[in-house]
Amino acid sequence: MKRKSILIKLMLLILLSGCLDRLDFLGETEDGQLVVYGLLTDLGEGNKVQVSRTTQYAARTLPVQDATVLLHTEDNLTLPYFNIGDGSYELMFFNPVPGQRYSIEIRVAGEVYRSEWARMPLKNVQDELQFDFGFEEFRKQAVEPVFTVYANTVLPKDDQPIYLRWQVDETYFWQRTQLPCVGLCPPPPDPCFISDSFDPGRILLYDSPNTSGRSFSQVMGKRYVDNSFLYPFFVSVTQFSITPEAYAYWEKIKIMVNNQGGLFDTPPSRVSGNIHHVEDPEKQVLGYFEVAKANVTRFYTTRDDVPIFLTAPCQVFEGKRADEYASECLECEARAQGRKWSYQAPAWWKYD
Amino acid sequence: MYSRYFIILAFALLFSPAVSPLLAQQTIQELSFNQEDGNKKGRYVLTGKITHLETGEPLSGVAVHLNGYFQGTVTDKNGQYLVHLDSGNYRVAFRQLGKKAAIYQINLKGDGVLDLMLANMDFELAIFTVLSEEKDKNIRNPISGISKMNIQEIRLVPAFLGEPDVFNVIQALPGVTSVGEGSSGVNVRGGQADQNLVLMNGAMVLSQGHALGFLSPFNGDVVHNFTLFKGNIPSYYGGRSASALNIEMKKGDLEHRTISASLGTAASRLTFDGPLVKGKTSLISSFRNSNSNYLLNMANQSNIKNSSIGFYDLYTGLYHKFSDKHNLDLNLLHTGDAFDFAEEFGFRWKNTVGSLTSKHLLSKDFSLVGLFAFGDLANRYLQPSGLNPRENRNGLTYYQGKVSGLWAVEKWEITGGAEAIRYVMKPELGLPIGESSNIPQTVAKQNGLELSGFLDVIWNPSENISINAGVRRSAYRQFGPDSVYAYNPGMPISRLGIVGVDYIPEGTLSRFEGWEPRFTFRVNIDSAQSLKGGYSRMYQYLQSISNTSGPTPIDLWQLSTRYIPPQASHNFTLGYFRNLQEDIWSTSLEGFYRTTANQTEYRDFADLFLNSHLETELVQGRGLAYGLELLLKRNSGTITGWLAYTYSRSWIRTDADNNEIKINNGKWFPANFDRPHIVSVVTNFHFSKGRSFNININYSSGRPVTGINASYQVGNIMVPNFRERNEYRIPNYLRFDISYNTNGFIKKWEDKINFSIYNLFGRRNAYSVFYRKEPQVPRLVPYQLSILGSAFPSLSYTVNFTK
Repeated sequence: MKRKSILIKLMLLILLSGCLDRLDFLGETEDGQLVVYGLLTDLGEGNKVQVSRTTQYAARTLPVQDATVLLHTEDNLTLPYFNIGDGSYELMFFNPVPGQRYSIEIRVAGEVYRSEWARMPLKNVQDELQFDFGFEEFRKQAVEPVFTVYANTVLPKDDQPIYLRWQVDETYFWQRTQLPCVGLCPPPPDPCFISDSFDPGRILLYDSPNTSGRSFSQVMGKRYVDNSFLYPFFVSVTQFSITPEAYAYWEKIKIMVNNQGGLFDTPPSRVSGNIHHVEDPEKQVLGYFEVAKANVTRFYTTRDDVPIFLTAPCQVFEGKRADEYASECLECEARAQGRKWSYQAPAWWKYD
Repeated sequence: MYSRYFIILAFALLFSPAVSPLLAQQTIQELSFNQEDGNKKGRYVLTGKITHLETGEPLSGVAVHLNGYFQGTVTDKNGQYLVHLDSGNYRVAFRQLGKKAAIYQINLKGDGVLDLMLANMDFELAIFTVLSEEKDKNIRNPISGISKMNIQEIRLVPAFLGEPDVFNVIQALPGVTSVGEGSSGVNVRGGQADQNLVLMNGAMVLSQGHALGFLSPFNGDVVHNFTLFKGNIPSYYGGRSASALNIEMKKGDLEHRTISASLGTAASRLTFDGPLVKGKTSLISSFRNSNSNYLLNMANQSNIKNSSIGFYDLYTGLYHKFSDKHNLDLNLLHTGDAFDFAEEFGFRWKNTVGSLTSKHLLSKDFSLVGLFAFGDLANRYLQPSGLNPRENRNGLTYYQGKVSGLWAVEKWEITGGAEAIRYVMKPELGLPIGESSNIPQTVAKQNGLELSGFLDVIWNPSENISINAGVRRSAYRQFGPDSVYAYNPGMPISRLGIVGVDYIPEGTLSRFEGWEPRFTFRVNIDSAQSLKGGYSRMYQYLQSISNTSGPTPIDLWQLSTRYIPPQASHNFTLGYFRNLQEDIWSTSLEGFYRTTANQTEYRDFADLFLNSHLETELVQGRGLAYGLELLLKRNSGTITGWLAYTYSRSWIRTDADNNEIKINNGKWFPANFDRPHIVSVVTNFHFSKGRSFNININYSSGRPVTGINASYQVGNIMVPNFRERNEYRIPNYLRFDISYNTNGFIKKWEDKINFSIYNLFGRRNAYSVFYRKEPQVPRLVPYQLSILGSAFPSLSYTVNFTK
């Protein structure tokens, strides 16, 4: 039996899996290339532009703090973005209008860059979200608990082409531990609200011209079930109705990100965005300025939905010293591990 | 670590002077046959029977060589041979693997009967000739860059899955490489895989991808030999711009019936070979089927358990001899492949090639050969899950007709004829799978006709000089119906530049034609040295279109159109050939240089499927290939084999007027398959009783890949930013294979055992490089994908029942 098993593994290894090895070469990257990503939606919030530069050896780009970012509208309005730090520039007090065209301009280090005009699409479609907790091979070759989010989407029966992109985020509640005390005790610590991309790397796209089906269901994301589900766990699905050009850009990104180097993979290429140097169009700016009509659908789960027993790591025991508790029990930052977090509940944080 | 020892061992054994004293020159006996009745004829028969010295049993398959060339005659099951020859002097050699060769100098002035016995070779006898050709063929053959091998030699090169395979052996020859394991096709002297003309008994075979590209469609049980022309191609071959490979399949035995069965760990074969009408009509048929699917079903991993992989091929050859001067040959090859990965994706492809060949000796000097062939490719790509469950289909049917006549006199051989190939491309289909509400899509493809006339002259003014000159006139027409797009003249040809479309139901849509001169020469400096050179001009009207790293079995074939003009190449070669120690050693040094106009490249993110205007996804440019090949070969002895080193470069430069569609800003860049240094060492150790141990070592520079120069975040997605196309290289490639061939346990079954290990040291040779985000690592991490990541042993047992 053992011999048979070895033979099977050998055959499978060779015939199907091949082998992956980490390489040491190609590690160096060029620094100093300008990266701009802007998203303009009609959601009334979060209209930001990130400006940064690439750095050697790192994926994290270096924020550009001294840029000037302007929004141009087709009515010849020019609106400034406000520098909110960390390379982020936010547009405030402005609601873009579907059907109108917009463009951004970035001035940095004496150079001027401008995006192509992009028209905000007119409509979104409705997503109906579902979820389940199941068991499957996910992070490793063994069955483990997995939380899956699905969406059923129905398109209206008209001939208008529509291009969609989805972004799925999670936000969960984390209760910091109140240590036992005697006498005048401090108030209970604020809880943490920790946010992140639900299934990083998954790019969800749809284009109606190339898919004539008008209703479809798709997996929006999967996640390993851990103690993040001890408390309410929100999933926010943002549907962006995007331009055909933005769709083409994301489609290329998807090809690049999903490339596994296989026999049938499309060879990699540079993905060009829609922002150029005004005087030298050959001067490359990485990134994209995206104009999208958006809507958000949310749901939440609680511990009762989870079919497995979740161990609470921060149980309070008499006599246990503060430094014996895991740091994630006491500090949001430690729990978040680089993800976004806040003591304040988001405005939409409502559950029964 | 071990690999270093193996290299040293293989080299030491192959080139050890210690074994040289064992090698002695063959004794050549002189014989004369005269016509007893005094009726002199221009042409006589030489016949006889060859038996085994020790057992007295007839020996089948002994090759008969005339003046240094093997001309297809072997002994039948009775050990009998028969050749028709003009009167004159001939050096006749009888050779078979494992037997001591017999060589005669015969003065033929009448019909002759020559019976002889061949002895086994063993360590004591020491001399062992494995070549089916005469050992001085590389000196005397008029064409440089030509490689020829028979199935006995092919079997000596260790192969993947233990299957003797023409394409596996070709890759061990100088000047030949591939993108990597699992890619279909080979690259010859810096040419693209689709620039090789592949023929089976003269019939064109377009699809060479089989078993996911690991094997070729040509089952070793029915292959007789192959000839590879690597640059200087005679004018009777055409239609490709780099090389020509003709694979001769076996003809059925006219006297005895043999059924052989082979069971292996990866594939099994069943072969019938024998007469239907004794002495007149024979049939050879072989079926090969993969048998590894059961392993997938036993896997624990659900997606692998739900996967399937399979391939089969069937070759049938029917041979009928009307007379000694007229025969008919019918061949049919059919292959099928399927690969499904769980419910995620799948491939199917089928390939059928059939041919009917009539060979007629009209006079003692003139023969006529007529060929009619057809081929059919049908590819399917399935995507049963996801948003858009569908299946894409494409394919091609072609019909080939060729007539050629050969007139041969003392110093002249003149071949002339004409060829026509009709291409009918199947519409590309996009079909919904399941209850999807998707609408089927159809994209019509092109039809075309390629007509050629050719004349080829070989002139041997003296024994030391040979000149081969020829010319081919090729003409191509693309016929309607087809939709021809019009583009904005001020813009590059792209989707955005489309300004209209014309549907042309019939008639000629585009035409191209050209002269293709061919010329080669051979000058013998002495009996052991020669100098050869040549030039070939070649046009190519059909090309495969792919935007994957290497050729795949389901690549689209595309005919030349108004926007996709034919490729045209100039090929130059020059070589020095020298044999040593009475032809025991063959050496050669050859240089080649080729320029190709209109070489096709895909544009970035090319959308090739279901696209009615493929020209918007392609860009044409110039190809440049040059290099040097060094071959050192040992033809006889207990240890034979060769060392081949190739320095080869292959470059592309796109010529588009518009910068937007130029690749790498119009600069020269290396092709996907550019591997500057290629070394291969094949070493065969011959033991008594037909046993052999074989080593194959293959090293090459890593092929070019496109690497990233930065990564950045867009939204939540980490995006790699790639540099120019093919700017980096993957790590170098090194592979060791071994095989051991021996007789089985039951002598009367003529059973054989083959054990081989492909990639002995389990080296993880990179096929490609890709990038992915890892937790805690602040950049995208490069990974290499190895198609075969470990040693791959295989075992096959073959039995032969002969009656």
